[in-house]
Amino acid sequence: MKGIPGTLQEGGATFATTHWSVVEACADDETADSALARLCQDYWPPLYTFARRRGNNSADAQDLVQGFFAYLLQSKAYAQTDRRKGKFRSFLLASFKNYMTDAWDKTRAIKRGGDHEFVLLDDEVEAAEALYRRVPPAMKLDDEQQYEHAWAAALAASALQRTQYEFDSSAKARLFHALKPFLTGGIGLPSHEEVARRLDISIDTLRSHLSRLRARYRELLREEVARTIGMAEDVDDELRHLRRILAAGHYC
Amino acid sequence: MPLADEEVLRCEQCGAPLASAGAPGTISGCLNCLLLVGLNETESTNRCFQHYEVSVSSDGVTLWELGRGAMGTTYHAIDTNLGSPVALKVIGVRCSTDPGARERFRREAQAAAQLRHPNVATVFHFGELPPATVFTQWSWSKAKRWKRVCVAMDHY
Repeated sequence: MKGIPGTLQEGGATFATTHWSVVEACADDETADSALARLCQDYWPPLYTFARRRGNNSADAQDLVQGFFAYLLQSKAYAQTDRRKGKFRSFLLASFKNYMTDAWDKTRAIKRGGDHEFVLLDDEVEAAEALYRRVPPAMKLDDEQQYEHAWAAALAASALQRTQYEFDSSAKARLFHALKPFLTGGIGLPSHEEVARRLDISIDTLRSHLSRLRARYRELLREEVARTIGMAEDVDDELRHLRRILAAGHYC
Repeated sequence: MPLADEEVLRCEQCGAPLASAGAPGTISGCLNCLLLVGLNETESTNRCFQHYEVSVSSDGVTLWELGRGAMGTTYHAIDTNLGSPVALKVIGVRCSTDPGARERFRREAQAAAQLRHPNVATVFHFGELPPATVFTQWSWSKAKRWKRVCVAMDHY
């Protein structure tokens, strides 16, 4: 059986040990530190957008995020809070807000979090800046709603990236790029017939490929969501909540 | 063709507002569509409008479409609470982005809800789904009659 990147099947232990539930379950040992560090590394862009919304320029927002993660891991602040922390998304924002008001000045110089160093690469910062600017002008979201909007985008981007990686590594890159518009929606979408002609396959075969692509993306998205919620939380509830945020912005 | 509403681009699949441009590391499509795929409801391959369910095949094609008008599409659906067949008229993506059209859709439902006649389909429910979908639930009757209703919608 072919291994799935980022899972135990591949031989690594990255996925199972990077769940928020791991931090919940063992809040004061090395495993929890590593899990939290990995989650922070994967989901810092929404915090960056929040810092930018609060009037910080790009450089200050980067410093804030880096300083916050270093502070979080060094101080082990997460271990001192209620063990039933709920969602990682909520925990992260609440802690970041506290940090911005209380701890920022005191820890301005700290950029390292013990064994875990947060280095933000230029293209990552560029992507986070784009995430900050990508909320449609018709949507009127407050700072926290924009954070959640960015959170939803980060989850979807991560799942999409993992899906693409799997297709690329099994020599199906062309198929993925041809079918991707049907998965992502958007504008200027081609017809099934047009894409089938381009790929030189029948409509039925195309629909079958599309169905498999949707199913795999769905699994990976749900895995990503599951990483960031507590043991008692439900993936569907989290997805519905994030969709409500989109709707809230739309109807303002 | 892009759907414009106050210079905002909207998804052709669901009508949600889109970001103006993609960038490295970000998604360039519709966030609403990408989240919707992840929900358990899509597993059943049926499309849900609150507790009304429209049968959809695994490749996304609606199986029982009764008719299509200028304002939207009418489907045969199942009220999953009662297990009974209903007719569901759902506003089209293009109209759903137009506040005026949404208001006309609502007024049509209010007017139809006042009518009670054996030969006239009756509206029992008006619903809204984020981000921009509105729909009405009509009493179910034979498909032959619905063809006439759908033609009438075109002239509304």
